[in-house]
Amino acid sequence: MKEQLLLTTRVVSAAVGGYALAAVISLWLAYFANLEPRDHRFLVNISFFLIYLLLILAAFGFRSHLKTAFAIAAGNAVLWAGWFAIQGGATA
Amino acid sequence: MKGPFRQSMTWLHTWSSLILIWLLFAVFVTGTLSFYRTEITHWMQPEGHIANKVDTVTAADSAWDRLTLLAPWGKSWSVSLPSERNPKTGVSWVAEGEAEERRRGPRALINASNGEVLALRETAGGNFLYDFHFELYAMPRDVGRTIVGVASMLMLVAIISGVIMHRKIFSDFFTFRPRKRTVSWIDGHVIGSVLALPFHIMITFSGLVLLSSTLLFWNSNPGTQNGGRPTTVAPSQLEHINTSTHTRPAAVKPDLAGILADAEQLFGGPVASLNIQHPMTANARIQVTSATRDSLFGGRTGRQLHYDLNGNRQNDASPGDTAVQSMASSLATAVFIVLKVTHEARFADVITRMLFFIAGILGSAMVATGAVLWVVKRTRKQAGSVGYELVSMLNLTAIAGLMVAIGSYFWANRLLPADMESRDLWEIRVFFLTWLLTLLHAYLARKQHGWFIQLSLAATLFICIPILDGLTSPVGLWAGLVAHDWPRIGFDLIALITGFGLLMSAFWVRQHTLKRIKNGEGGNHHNNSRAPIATRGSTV
Repeated sequence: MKEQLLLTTRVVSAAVGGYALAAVISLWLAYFANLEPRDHRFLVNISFFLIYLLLILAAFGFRSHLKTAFAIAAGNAVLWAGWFAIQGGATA
Repeated sequence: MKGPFRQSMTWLHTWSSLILIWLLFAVFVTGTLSFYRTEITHWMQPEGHIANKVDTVTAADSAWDRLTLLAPWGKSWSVSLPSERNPKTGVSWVAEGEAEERRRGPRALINASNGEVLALRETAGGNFLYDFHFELYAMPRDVGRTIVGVASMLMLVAIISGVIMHRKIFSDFFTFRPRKRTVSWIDGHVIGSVLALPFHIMITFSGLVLLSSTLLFWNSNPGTQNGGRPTTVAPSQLEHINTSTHTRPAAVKPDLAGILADAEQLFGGPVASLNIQHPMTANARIQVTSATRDSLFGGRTGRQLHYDLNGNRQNDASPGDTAVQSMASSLATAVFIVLKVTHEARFADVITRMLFFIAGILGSAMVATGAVLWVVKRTRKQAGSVGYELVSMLNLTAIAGLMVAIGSYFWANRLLPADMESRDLWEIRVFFLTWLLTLLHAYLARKQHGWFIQLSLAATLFICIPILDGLTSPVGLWAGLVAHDWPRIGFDLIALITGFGLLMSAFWVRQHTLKRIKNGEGGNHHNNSRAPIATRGSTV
């Protein structure tokens, strides 16, 4: 039962956490590329699916369920916090 | 995951592919058929089948004459000329007082030889299969796209993890061990996957990128969704469109033969369409567009030339090329355009399109063998369990049942009355009702020759399609062949090949079942671990 719960945690981390992490990484990538809005959109669209794929493969490659979930959660927290910080700064 | 990395990838490959594998098969099959959606629609409108081959000049001439009757006061006319993919001429116009808008299809289809407006039957045609492969049916568009997007992402994960888990993928590709039961299916799955691996990766990844406006809703640009499907106007309605009170202007006709000859020489290939601004006046300006679109960076149109009424070329600039150059302002945009053009095979000539079609069939085979493999591997331990029986039943419905449903869809097109109300909807209803019946059959009879019956039925439907076509089209098969109606003849030929392929599969399943029964290995599906692969866990 515990193993099933841990496996579910890993699947959710990979699917949902991976989606959020891939989104913020692709946004950062496009931010640093400094492109026109249209090119920015295309870069995010293309890079997102590559990053999401790599994150899913990596999420199932780690041995520990909990370490995987923690790594994805921490990555999300740091990158989203940074993203909102620069967005807030840009707006102000 | 516990265990080595490759073992984790094997687990991921198995489960990521299984979750929506039946949907993936349907998406792959209907997507593969979509490479020929124009040809399918042509076959499904027999009133448009041609009895004699028409050259470009005659087609343009007859279209011009028809437009002088349909829209003499039109602000502009458009003519899409017959091509190797569609032998009908399409005409469109912007009527007097009508707003200029970009139409996505012709307003009327006419007979290329005499200009008569064709009274084509209402059909869902190839467009239904095309739409189904990326937004399913009977649900909000975004919901369908999201479901297909999730399935595509799972597919991409399955493909890449499948590559990683193979220690010796290159040598495995050259290995086929027949009559080894599970191993034979693994070998078949690997061959189907690796033979067209670049295609599988490209088509899945580009499909995801094309669905990004839905999957990445937070990054989409409002207003990028496609509009509705273009529709043609019934011949009876055409009379009421241009009821101008003005006297019809005197016909001023350009030297179409000279213009077309000059354009074809400069293009080095055929002309796709004409667009005439200010028709029937001395200021008429004719834009000629090339049919050749062999560039991966190609936009929606080929190269264009402009002529005046006397056939004098105005310039040889190529707005399409310059537009694309300015469009591809960054590497990301260029990659996006290439992915889009490649996914839709918009650049493809006859041979390339055929290769894409074959690669699509291999992709469908990869998904189907993968689904069957899941059942085969678990027969000994899990036969009789709910999960095992559910997967067995869905495999039969999704693979053989889908082929029966597609065959029925084509038959319904010809057997439903041509003037039936909402007949396009009825074609689609026949498709889904048949598919539902195959599900019922799989539930009740998958242990009693289920695979053999459904595969045989699908084979019969497809093999008889040329006969059905010959009997229900106003143009005989031989006349169609003489007139070079390749879209129609090609459809019949591919249906015949598909039918024989299904028949061979049906008899293969049958033969192996009888062999097992003879050897005393058949019977109760609960201990039928050595039954034929496609029906392992059940008596075929």
